[in-house]
Amino acid sequence: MTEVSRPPEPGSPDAPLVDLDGTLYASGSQVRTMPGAPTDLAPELTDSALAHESGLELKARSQWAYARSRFFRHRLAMGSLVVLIAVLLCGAFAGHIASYSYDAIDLNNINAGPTTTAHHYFGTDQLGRDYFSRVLYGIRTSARVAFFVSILSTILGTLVGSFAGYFGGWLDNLLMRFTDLILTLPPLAVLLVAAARLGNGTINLGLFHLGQEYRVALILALLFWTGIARVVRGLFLSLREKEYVEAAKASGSGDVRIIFRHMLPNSMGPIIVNMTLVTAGAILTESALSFLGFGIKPPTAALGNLIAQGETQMQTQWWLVVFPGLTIVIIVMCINFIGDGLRDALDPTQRRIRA
Amino acid sequence: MVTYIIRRLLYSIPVLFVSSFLIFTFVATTTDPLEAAKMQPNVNKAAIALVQKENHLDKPIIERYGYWVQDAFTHDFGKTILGSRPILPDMLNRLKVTLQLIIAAEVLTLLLAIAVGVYSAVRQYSIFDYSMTTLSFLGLAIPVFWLGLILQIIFVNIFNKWGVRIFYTSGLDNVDPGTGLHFLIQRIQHLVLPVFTLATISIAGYSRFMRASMLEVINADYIRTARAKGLIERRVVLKHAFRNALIPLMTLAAIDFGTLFGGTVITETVYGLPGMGRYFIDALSGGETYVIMAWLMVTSVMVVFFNLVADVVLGFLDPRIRLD
Amino acid sequence: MHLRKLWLLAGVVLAALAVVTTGSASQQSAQAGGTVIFGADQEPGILNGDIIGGNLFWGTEVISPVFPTTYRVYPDFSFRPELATTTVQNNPFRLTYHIKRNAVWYEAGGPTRPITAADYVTGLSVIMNKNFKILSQTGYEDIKSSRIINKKTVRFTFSKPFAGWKTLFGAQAVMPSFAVSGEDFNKVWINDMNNPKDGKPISGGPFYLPNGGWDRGKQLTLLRNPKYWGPKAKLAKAVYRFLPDTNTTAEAIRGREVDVIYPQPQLFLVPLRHTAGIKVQVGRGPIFEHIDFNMGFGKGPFNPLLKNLKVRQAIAYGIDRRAIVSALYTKTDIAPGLPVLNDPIILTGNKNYKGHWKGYTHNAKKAIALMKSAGCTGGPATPGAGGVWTCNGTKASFKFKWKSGNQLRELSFEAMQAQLKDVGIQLVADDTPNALSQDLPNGNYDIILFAWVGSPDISGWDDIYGCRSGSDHAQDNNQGYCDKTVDRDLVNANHQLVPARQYALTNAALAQMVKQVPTVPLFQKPTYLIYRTSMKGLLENPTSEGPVWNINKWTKA
Repeated sequence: MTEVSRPPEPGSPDAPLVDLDGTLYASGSQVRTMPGAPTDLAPELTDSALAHESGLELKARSQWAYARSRFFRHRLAMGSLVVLIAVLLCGAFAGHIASYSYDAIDLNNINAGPTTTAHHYFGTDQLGRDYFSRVLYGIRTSARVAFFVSILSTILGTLVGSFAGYFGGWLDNLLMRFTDLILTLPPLAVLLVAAARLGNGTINLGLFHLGQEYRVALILALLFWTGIARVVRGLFLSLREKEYVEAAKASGSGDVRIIFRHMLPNSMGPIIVNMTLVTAGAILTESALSFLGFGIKPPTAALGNLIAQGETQMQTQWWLVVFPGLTIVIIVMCINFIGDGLRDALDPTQRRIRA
Repeated sequence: MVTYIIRRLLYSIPVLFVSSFLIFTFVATTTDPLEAAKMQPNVNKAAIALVQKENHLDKPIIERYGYWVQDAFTHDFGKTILGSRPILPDMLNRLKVTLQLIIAAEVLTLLLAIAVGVYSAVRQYSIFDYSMTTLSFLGLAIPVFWLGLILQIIFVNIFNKWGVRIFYTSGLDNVDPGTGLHFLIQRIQHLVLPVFTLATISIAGYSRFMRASMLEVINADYIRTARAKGLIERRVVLKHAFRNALIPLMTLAAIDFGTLFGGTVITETVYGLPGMGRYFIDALSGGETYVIMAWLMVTSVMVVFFNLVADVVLGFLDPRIRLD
Repeated sequence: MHLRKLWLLAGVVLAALAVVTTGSASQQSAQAGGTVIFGADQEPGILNGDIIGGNLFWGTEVISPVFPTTYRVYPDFSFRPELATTTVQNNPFRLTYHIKRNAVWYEAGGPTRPITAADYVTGLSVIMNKNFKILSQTGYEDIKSSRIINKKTVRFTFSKPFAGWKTLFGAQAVMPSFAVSGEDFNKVWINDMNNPKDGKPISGGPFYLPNGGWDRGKQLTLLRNPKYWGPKAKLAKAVYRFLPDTNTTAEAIRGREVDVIYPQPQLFLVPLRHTAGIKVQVGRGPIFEHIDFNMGFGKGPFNPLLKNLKVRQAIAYGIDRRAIVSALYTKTDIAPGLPVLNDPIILTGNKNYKGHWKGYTHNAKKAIALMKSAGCTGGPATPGAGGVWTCNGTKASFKFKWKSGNQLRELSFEAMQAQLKDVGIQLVADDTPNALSQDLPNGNYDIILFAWVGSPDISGWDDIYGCRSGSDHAQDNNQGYCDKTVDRDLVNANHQLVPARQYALTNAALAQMVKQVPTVPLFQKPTYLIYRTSMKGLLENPTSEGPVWNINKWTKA
């Protein structure tokens, strides 16, 4: 229940974990791996799926195939996926679709409403820039931010969580105290300080010259990884007691091999679902950051800063807020629906198979 | 249990110290309370130096942190740099306002979310369930500041068109708030929109959570057993399932409550409420380093504290969990 | 938990609210009449305007109705005597104040006491006291001696002429000596405007701040001073509501929650001009936006190309100031007819305004020619190299600094960036939160966009455009700009008491400055005084006085 927040996550190792639509996830010592637990959560429980359930042992690959088929049958998720891909393609090919550059100023044609003349489908803004083009480029920027945040925070969170959960002991303690530390920091303060520290503009890493969207993404990722870390730790705490892990240990497999070859693949479901949450959260938080003046800086267009800039004019120039606003709502809803579908398809607690 | 609480508290002390030092370093190097004064042409440089000396602004960061820790423990977080006002009394006043806001929001959220969640679960895949699902996904996708602004415009337009003042859109009270019932009523009229704005996202999230939690319990073995024993469905749902499904939601609510002390910045800015969030933004724009620090510490402690509360409550309610 | 009970509860709440709406509507009309409610977008931290931290805009708007001022600035930029008339003598420079006979201090619940010569002398001694955090001592520091001639007459002798003498002894510089003397001034008027000796509210103006009148975070209430020596206020009460978000203040005035707002002019306020029951007065404010070039000040890093006059001129020609002003203010209908500003210091609306910068109209060809003659290669003719000039190995790419979070400057930057791109000059956004507090004084910028506050008193500008030297001359020149003629003229203007000659000297300095273009003025920020038509007597004062300068004449229908 916050305005600028990390994605929903547990506050403590023993608390239940939630995703946006409220599925309970692993928590602390009591991961829900109830074999044979009945579920009504998957609406499209098909014959083939039921047939599977009677099977005893499944290979990893067939598990994935199984998940895929379940996902494809999730109509809402599939519809969302199609819409999302269409929107993202528009963003990716903004340069080809848009009639104007995102920063082409036309001071003779400012604050024009949506019209088909001169292809100003979404109108123009205070400097006469074509808003359709800006929204398209905005999709691109926001998607980059969201993608980068989800990848980075997932990698970071998975590493921290898996090492803490697998090794336990002092390493677990240290890593989890560090996670606590990040969690006690009010997100707003961190964002603010980080924005001030990293400055504006680009990150120059010698060979790599990254745009400012990566700066914002980096800040968000540094806040968002804690949730995934806790999920993964919880899963690992329980997985390491499993027979197959014991067996791998007994046969002399290295720790790293056990983590990445045996335990991680069995944790992918919750991790992927969490990634979708982080992605949706990143897009919304970028808009809140822009409202506070610390987001992506103009003239670069991002969906969040378009809303924040147009917000003050919404009584007269409604199109400045409505179009990017709707785009955000559509994207975030699609991602959430996809996450929903993925959860149904991937959540290990819903697979009635012997792990 | 007691040792668990003590251990958790002991753990959080070094965490708070480390984070306070990190924050202090960042905040102190990025804020300057004297910015406005320095920009003034022909400013009296001696006076600037006086203020700097008085507040140790001319000292190295480590030393300043030392002074700050000393002030925090012995002088209630010290005083503001400009005007030398004691910080703690001001902050407590702001805390009262924020408390009203977040308690109201939390209560509203829980009432609505539980009702919607339980009903959706019981009538799974009904029209009600689907429309609530859609609504909550929508609620989760709307930026807070935008929602606040739209609500303001709607209610001002209603007032201008029909002359009916349903809710106020700014401030905590009228200019003359009155007393007794009038005071209470006008206070409610001022708080309804901010509370709703703050609660929207959580209502959406919590109702989904409650629904899932409820579904899980309904399908659990012991509920099936209860049904099989021939208990009335209503009694099964309300007496057995509902209570157990409530536990995780309560835990989540407790944790969220802790984060809310520092999480109302946008709502308070949009509605002009003199709470913690505004206090932070004002301190930030004024460059009041020590106010920012005090704020961050108080909000961090709230997060830690309510996390602990959540764990302890969960430990009491859920027999499967033992805290050690 | 019974759902039925829940619905019942909701029903009760709704019913209660329905009852309330009618109830509070009648309450609303009952409290009208004698109260003006301001929607202030910023809350003062302290109410002592003399010390550091006390000079926020809304702070001065609260102080001004409570403390008397010797001179008041009128909307036509003229200084008119209010508390005292002055006799001026030269050689040596002497000011003799003749305080109004009837002028008195009022202490709530206490006696009135005359405002006397001792109050002027006390003000001076407090302001010059080294132990107090006095924000500025300009003018006062030149006073060599003071002499009380009689109870209502005081004479100050200066070590050198001070042209800005009418700005001296304003609000809170004439101090009630019976209250202030012997006090630690750093602790006076922090949370109140009381006599620190007995804790009673004190006033020499049309209003006073009663004890408990400031509810921090919410509002500050001033009450009419029943014993005011001048024309008494017609309103009984002035309330300042603190609403930080401009959107909120705009909605609040539409919804009749406040009567007067004084926001930064923005696009979304324009519809208010056509809203029934609301009136908007647009003024040409004293704040002028400009860009400054770093010509080698500080440790950098900065682009050395800006030391080259031709590059600076090319930028000045490359920018289309008219188009920027038009886009920001004219076409948006925010302030139709706002002109481009062609001089710093002396602003449009002043009859001595000459407009030296008017030659710098948009001229892309000239800008390109200037870059070529500066020995630069590449440019817009060679898009392969990015279309940016390279001059003696240095790219014509400049870090453009402004303080983060200012949308107006963001838009100005974006317009300039696009315009200069066409002439092969690259601007890179470099806004930071500390742009003005750290980057500017340290010279850490190439080009910086910010504003100075102009004044009807045009002395003191040598501090900004003079030659920086030692530790007390031109300390606010952060550009590395130095021209001996400009420096000399501006210094002399400070001591020139004949206004016509003072303006002539300043204009001569500007005529010299425009040849070197260390700065390019853009426009004066318009001011917006927005009020409900139930308020009468308001008159926008675009000087730094703000809207309350004539508050004692206001009435409310």
